[in-house]
Amino acid sequence: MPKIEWGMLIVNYLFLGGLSAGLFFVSALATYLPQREEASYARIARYGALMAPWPVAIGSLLLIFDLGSWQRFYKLFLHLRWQSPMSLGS
Amino acid sequence: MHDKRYALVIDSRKCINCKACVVACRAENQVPLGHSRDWIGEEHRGTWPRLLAAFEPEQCHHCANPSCVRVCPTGASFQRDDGIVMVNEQDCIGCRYCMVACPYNARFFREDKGVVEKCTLCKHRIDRGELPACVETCPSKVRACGDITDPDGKLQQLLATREYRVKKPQTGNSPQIYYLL
Repeated sequence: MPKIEWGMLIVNYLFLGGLSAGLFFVSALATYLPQREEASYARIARYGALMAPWPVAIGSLLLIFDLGSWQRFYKLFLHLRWQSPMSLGS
Repeated sequence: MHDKRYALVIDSRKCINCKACVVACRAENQVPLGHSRDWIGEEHRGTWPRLLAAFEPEQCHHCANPSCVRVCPTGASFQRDDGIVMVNEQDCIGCRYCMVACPYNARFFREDKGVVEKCTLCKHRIDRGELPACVETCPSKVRACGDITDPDGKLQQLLATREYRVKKPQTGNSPQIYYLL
């Protein structure tokens, strides 16, 4: 059984990223789908948009602190390596 | 004029599992307890009373097409012109992607430094014209290190004498440790 390198911090980040995406998506649906003005749709759109950025922001912090040398995380944005999925993702 | 490429030729049949190569590597490179840049793979075959134990040294294969270098997001994992794959500790952020990518589990994470480390083929010794510590210390003459591109070199002479294989060739990494059969 090979050793696990990417553990709970990464797993939580993936979940939080999906959570943020879901919040954004529902908020967008509530903004653009309704045919008539209604307070409940407006509330969904508003609170969804307000809550959406935070889970992925926290997840990104988890991602940074998972690094072995997290103080050098900015190097991810200095170098672009086309063959590295992690570089493209950054 | 060709670029030289360092490789290892290993004659596992001669390996007695004395682990002198492991000790020499740890001493030469200050490898911390709990990790090893090289190790001896053990295989036990057969049933009593017909038993066989085979020992095979393993470490970074310094592949010609290294997946660890490809996936490194900062370029800290790189390959020298002579084929030795290295880690630049200043650029390494410790994401451990290279550890996931290596088919041979050759890399390990150093908690004290926050970076990834592995066999360097003792480049500090090679650059001085010496052999890697593991090669020099082996009492059974299991290991040979040199320029694989040299047609008259000792590596090519060894490969001409017997059949050989590399480990996990299906990965496309083109590993540079040749195990004599």
